[in-house]
Amino acid sequence: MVRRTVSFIAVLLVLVFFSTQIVKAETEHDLAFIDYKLALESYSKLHDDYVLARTNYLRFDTLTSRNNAKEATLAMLQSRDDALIAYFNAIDTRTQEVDGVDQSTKDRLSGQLKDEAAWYADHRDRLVAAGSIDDLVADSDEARKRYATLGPVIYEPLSQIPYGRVLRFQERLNENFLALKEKVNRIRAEERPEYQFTTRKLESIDRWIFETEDRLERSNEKLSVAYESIEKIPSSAKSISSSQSRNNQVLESLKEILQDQKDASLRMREIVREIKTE
Amino acid sequence: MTELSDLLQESKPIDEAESVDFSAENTTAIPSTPKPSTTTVSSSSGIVGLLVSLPAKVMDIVQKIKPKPSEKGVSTQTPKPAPSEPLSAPVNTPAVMLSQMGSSKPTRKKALLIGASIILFFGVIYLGSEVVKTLRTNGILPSDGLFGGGEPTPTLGEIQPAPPSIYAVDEVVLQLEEDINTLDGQLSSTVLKENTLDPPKLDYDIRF
Repeated sequence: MVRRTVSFIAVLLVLVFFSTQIVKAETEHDLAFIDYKLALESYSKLHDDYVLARTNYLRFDTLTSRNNAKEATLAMLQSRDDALIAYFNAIDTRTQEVDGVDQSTKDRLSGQLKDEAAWYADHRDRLVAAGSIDDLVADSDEARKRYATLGPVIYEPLSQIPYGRVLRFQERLNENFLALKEKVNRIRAEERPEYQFTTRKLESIDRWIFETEDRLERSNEKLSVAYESIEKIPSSAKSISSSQSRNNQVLESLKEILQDQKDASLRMREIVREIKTE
Repeated sequence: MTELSDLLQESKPIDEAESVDFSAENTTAIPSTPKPSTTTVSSSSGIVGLLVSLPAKVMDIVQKIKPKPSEKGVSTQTPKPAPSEPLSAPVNTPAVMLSQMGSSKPTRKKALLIGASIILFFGVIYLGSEVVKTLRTNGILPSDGLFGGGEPTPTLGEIQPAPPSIYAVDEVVLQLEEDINTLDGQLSSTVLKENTLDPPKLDYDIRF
């Protein structure tokens, strides 16, 4: 009785949690991400069932335990494929909504992710044809081998997403800086005495401009290097671990770029402060 | 009278001598016989009276120099005549006998007393908070603390902002400032790694 009540409350809490998430969901990615989380939840539960059924089968080796183990393994393998399909969809929708990634790259990455999702959907549908536990193990091995080569498919989008974001920041910084420089040049060319700045003030502004330019140039150069690293992901080793380490390198260089961008932004704020005060 | 004044004069050497004696006693077992005092009396007048009143006087001085219980390592016991029974033997006083007869009753009483004290403590705190709340709602007390500590106090040496230039209200400058501040906020709050999209941990090691 107590167990039933506890399970009922747990299910109720999960439903309330996900219903609030659905209300909050605004973009296509939000919905895809909720689907992915639900698929993972389902997989986790079915995996627990599989572990229990497998243990019973290995211990008792009866016909019933064998059938139970087969059913539990089938359900778990199907949910595993579903979880992976939902994961690919979540990455795809996230990539699509990032501004800094150009459309051709988005299309290419989306094509790769959809191909993999299609392969796993086909694999999931084929699982029901397995006649025995050994067949299911063979099917599982097939999926495992496929997954081991998915490094670039997973990690190229995961590198492109932050790169696109940082690239967009760079573009906006450049736009702001150009507008600011233009304003400073107009002030410098001003002939009305009340609109003119002192030479000292102009020198101070020039110093901030020089420092901002330095930071922006530095981040531009680093962005090129980061992009080259991302381009190497598909051609490098296909394993998950090697793609992950390359992704980490990209993230590290993007962090440095972000710091340069913050420095540039800080200096631009100083230029505005100088302009707004005597 | 002269004996008394003599004794008072001699109280200091007695004090010192006794303190030395007792510290020495700390390292030894409790004596079974009274230890002879090592007091040295230099005065020779009224020696008989002095000898008569000496034990009482010594006890009085010892009481005065008796260390407090909090001082560790200093024995609080004074030399006394050898007891007829061992020190560790229980004293059969009526109170001890009563406590030995019914030990559960005092424990219960103790527990009740502790419980009542806790309830009383929380009750006092609750009443106090209610009083403060009422005083605050009536405006008798300031709402930001008993002493009005929440009020901002002026800081010394505040940097005066530079006077605004003619461009402080310029539309282009204000727009640029807004754009730069917005971007600056986004730069500060952005998280590059997509932590929620790390590959799921799925079990691919299916073996029977």
